[in-house]
Amino acid sequence: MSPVDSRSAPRRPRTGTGIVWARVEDGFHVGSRDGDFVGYIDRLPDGRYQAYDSRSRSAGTFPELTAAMRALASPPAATPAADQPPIELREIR
Amino acid sequence: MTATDHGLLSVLYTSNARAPFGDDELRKLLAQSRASNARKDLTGMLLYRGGRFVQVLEGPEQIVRDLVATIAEDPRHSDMRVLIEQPVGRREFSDWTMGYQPIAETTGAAPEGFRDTFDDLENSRDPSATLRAARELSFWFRVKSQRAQQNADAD
Repeated sequence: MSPVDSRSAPRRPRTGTGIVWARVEDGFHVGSRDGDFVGYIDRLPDGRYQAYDSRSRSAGTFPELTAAMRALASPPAATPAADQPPIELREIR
Repeated sequence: MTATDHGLLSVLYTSNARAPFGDDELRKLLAQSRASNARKDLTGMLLYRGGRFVQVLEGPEQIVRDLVATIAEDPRHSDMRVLIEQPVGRREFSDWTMGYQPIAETTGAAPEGFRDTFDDLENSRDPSATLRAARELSFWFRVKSQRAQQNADAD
């Protein structure tokens, strides 16, 4: 397959997994699929990448960003934890 | 925030600070807006990044509209652009009278194949990209707040 000509086509944000990846700030990357977050990836001080699912559970640490992306690309396994409420929050003043 | 969360409006706007905001100015601004929002049943989030504000306000429609009109006249900022204005069924920032997390400007291009959230938020002509960028910021804010909470609990 030949690469897309970036001069004539919009930059393709989607991967083959249907996930749109975005950088919010340096070292913080968010992935979403059809409006639902699949998780986020932090770049660690040592240059590795820590992947978290949408409930902030670690999905592993990886030497490459693409490996961290791949770890979040699979549909989550059905576990009792999937029924837990999302991130619990309270205001920090 | 309230048991009567019907008729809610959410507004996201960006603007330019007329003068740089240091920690003291931000602290004062947050204290002022939190006190005011608590009285008015408003919630939201504020970001300050490279001299620009991004703020989400949510609450009863008319109260939000009135506040947005007031903010538009505030001499501390300029070039206010309302990027999102939408009725919502529930609050995204129900726990925050005005949440805040520090965020730095990015220092280079996004990784290959990645969108840039702030670029999509402010420059995209695709409304769905703007909305997605707003959700990304909201998600980022929640993650950062959760970490701040965990760090505070650990201290």
